[in-house]
Amino acid sequence: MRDMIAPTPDVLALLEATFDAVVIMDDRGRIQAFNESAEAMFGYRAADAIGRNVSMLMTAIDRLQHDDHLKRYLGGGEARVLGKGRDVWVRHRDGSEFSVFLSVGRIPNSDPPQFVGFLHDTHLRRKALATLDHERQRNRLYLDLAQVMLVATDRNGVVQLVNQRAFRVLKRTNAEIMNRNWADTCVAPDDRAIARAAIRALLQSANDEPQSCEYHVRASDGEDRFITWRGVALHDPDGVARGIMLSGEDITDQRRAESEAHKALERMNSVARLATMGEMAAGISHELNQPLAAIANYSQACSRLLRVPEPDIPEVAAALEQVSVQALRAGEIIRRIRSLVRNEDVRRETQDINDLIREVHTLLASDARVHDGRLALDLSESLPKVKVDGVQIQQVLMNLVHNAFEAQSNEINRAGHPAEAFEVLIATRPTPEGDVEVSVSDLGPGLAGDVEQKIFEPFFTTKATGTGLGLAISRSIIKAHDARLGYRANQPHGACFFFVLPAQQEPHR
Amino acid sequence: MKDLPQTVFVVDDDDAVRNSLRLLLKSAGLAAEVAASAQEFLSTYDAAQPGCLLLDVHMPGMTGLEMQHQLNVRGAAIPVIFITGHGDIPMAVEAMQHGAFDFLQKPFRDQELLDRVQRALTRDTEYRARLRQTERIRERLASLSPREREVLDLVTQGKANKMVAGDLGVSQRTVEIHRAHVMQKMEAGSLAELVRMMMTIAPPQ
Amino acid sequence: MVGSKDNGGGANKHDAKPVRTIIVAGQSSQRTREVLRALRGFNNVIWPTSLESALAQTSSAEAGCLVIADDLREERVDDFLLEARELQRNLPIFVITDPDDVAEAVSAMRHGATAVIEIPPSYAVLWEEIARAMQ
Repeated sequence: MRDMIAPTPDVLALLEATFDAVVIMDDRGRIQAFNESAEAMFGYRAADAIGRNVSMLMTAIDRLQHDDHLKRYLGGGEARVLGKGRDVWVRHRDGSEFSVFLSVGRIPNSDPPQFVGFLHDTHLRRKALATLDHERQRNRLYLDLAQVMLVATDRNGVVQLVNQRAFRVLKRTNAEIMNRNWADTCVAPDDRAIARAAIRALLQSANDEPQSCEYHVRASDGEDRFITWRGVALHDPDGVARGIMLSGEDITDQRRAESEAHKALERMNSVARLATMGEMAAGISHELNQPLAAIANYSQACSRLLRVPEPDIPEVAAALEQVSVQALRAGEIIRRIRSLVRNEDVRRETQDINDLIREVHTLLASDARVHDGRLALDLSESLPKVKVDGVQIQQVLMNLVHNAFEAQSNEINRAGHPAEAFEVLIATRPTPEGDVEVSVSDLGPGLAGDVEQKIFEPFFTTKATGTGLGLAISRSIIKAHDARLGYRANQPHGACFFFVLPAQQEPHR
Repeated sequence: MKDLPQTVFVVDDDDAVRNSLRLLLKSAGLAAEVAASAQEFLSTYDAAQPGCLLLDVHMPGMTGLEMQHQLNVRGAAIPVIFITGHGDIPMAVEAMQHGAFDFLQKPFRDQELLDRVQRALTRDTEYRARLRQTERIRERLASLSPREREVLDLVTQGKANKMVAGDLGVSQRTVEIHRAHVMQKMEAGSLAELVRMMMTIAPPQ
Repeated sequence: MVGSKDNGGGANKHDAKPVRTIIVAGQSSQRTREVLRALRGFNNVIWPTSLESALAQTSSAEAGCLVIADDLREERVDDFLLEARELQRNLPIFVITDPDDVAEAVSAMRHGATAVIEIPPSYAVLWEEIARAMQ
């Protein structure tokens, strides 16, 4: 240090030791001390710097400000420059400008006042930042090249980061998404609750496990896309969750294709259902013709009864009442048929399998009737409930029962056999594992060995007028219920088709 | 000449159909008796009762076709009209081949049913009349002496008295006397009538 | 149209059976053609040009069975049936109907048909019945 005023040896030693550049100036801004680091920083030798105004180290803008600040301080105003560190741009001897972190303090007990400025070289920091920035850019590139959508939000769900793909899917600009609430801005209204709940769940989760969820986002043009998301919580070093990161894949088209496939299967199912209903037409028409015949007979009888000179009014009244009873009976049958034929969405409900069987009992019994056979039920009491699509299970039952009666009808020599010989039995029972077995057994010829293999194949049929679809569809319905449609021989002869439905656990409350 | 009133028998397991049919028949002035099953009917039916039968095809236990078979086995001749909630041609053909009088599908127009019932009742009346007539002819036949019977057989074959005398080894005069007795006992006005009587009781070919 | 064949082998093979005919009575309609097509494979199927000649064929000794293929525009099926029955008491007579026309089938049975067959679908039944009739 040269030409100092007043610094003690310790101070001097301190000043020399410090890594930072130190410049001491008087109250007029004249440089009074200039340490080695300052020499290195600015490219001036101390000798060339001392005596000159500190403004030579500043950029044009700062120069003005500095004088201002100084004046103000000296004028007794607020110490803008003192006590607070700030980034300032300074000027190298060669004219290049760079940023340093400046702290200024007043040398205590100095009169006239002297000021010491510590300038911290932020060059390294900048370099680090530049590297970081470069890294970030590279990451950005990766983010943007990624085929997935990437979105990061803070704890409140405000968007901090979005990648190119997300912009494209959402058809929005940076300004429209950044720093806005994710759920309110980009998620389809019906799904906002799900989105918020998902973010909450991530923030609250105890571990780092990614979590998945699916919901619709809405693009700026109103188009909804269905996204499957995987999210992680982002923690700071203390382990506090600061935000979340979501990676999302647009599966709208995939889902559409799946939904089309599902619809096609449903259509096949309803075709098969109609085919089954067609095969059951004999039983159905029989069932409907009974009440219709009664209605016709009663009302025609009434017409005749009223033609005589003194009609028996009570008799006519009683007959007319029967007409309505029978009409309602017919309506009930039609309602049941309609519900079986209607193209309803698959709806799984927890229910009692025995109730389902009893619902279609009338229809099944009428099929029995036209085959001159009998339908028997052996339903176990207090079975666990199952979660099934009732209409589809009933369809399977109709198919199996109808097949059973057809198989028995083909027995040539019926004479001499008691009625029990042509009985089809529907049975339900619990399995040792606690599930529910449903079986349909007949006393027909049973299946020959090689037929047993092929019986579930689509379009395989042993019937002259069969479509061959019934069992294949039944099997796929049962399969969709996580069960298997199986066959075993009945004793002493005949066939038994069965399936086991998983018991539905009652939810504990 | 009706000795006993005609009854329409109704056998159908469906309550509504049974009761409505009974009322319909009653409103047309016909007497009806109902049964809910084939067994119920067969256990109380007396073949001497004139009338006809309305029979459902599909019934639990014994079916309509099985009951028809039972009636055939018993030799009952009551005309059977099948009524069915579901009928197809093969079933109808089978029923007719086994001797059914008619076959109707539910629901039917009342006039349709009543016409066919009337036809069946007429058939039953005619049949019973023929039966009675046959009975009477048999009775008269049984009253003939063996010789008279011989003469009857030969005469109705178309042989002249002379030929008959030759076949039997008696005189023509004897034949003439026997013949007169036969005509009287058989209550026949002419040879042609006698021949018709014999054809009536002959078994159908 | 195939004419009837006459075996005429009475003198040569004394135990030769006369070849019996399957007489198809019907107008020139789609159903008649379907029936004729279905009967390919049987010998001696003849399709007379008119109902009169059909009746004439029915009355001959070579008649094996009679198939009334359609509704016979010229005449009612039931009446034709009665006439045919009159000519041959024991001849198998089959009436072809539309599916599910039970009333028509019953009426045909009451007028003397041996059996009534629905076409479509019962070609198999038709073949069985005719094969049995011709034995």
